Amino acid sequence: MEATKAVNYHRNGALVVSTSSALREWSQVSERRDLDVDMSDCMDRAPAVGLGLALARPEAKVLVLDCDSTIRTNLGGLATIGESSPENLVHFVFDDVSSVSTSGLPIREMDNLDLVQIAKSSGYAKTYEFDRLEEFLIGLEDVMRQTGPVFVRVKVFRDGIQLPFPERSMAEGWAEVKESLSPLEGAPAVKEIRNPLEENPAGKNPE
Amino acid sequence: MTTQEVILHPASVVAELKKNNISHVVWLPDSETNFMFQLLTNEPSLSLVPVCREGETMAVSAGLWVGGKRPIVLIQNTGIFESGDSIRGLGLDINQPLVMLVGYRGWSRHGLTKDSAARFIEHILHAWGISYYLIETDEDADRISLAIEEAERTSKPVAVLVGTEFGS
Repeated sequence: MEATKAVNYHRNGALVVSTSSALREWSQVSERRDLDVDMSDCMDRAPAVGLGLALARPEAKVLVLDCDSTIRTNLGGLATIGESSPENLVHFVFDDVSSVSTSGLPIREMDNLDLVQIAKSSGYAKTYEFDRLEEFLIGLEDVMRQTGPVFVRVKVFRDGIQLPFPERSMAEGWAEVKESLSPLEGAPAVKEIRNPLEENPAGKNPE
Repeated sequence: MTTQEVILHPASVVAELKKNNISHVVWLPDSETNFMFQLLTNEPSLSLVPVCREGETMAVSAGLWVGGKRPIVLIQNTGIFESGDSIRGLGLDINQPLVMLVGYRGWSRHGLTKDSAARFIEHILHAWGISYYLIETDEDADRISLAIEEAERTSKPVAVLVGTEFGS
């Protein structure tokens, strides 16, 4: 949960696609549910949905909050993202050492998979690996500054308490996000979800 | 008795996509769909998004759609079988007006085919309650517009089965 809270702190109005256990946590901490695309179903497709959203909204940052148990069911999705190479996409994978999302069942082959190397060779522009929360909290600001696609593996420990999925259905949530993005067809509202670091790299006060 | 030439030219398909302001073609490059590649690449109003597996096309399309774009999916019928869960969860369940151009591998105008991909595809679409249109020639190409109109009116996926070899 602390890792998810850290992502929320650095969100800066980004669009967020989250799935599985990451969604359970994200829905508890997000302050912009109108910009959250929930994947409580078809959970392995979160990276592909994020890719589509990133291509549709190149002016916005798109964060994918993925899990080890979901990414392993569609590793080819990394190559799909690498081929289109969206600069505004950051793909987080929360690697759950406690295997809560599989009810404690270990996914043994995950120990043999080097997701960061797979992401690198699939064409991600930048990769990160964090094993400790403190490192993640310090490194996240740098992660969010990078030109994507960025891949971030974060080792997490969960305490065994399975949080609920959001009450709103996927259809309701997606409709809310779509409606929130509709005004962005016009110029004025686009600013709301732009990355302020990109708009004002020198950090100067626009006033 | 004359023999009717059954040919669909890629240009006819692309013209339909342009007419309907389609923004992206999400596809799995393969032997059934590569006929369109050159034409699509040269069309500035269309962006091509390649995937590694067909089930990703509906998901990429869903992201594009929620982001305000007008994508279309281009795969062959074997890919529909692979994509079942995505069509259910990211097409039907989220009310995505998803139009799928589907290469009808094994299609025969005589109704007899040894290819199970052809034998099962229409049954599968019926099972999901997904409407579909068949196109074989340039004259049929405007059914793509009908499919797009139906998908948007019903907020549901609609298929266009491409039952022909393509002309150059």
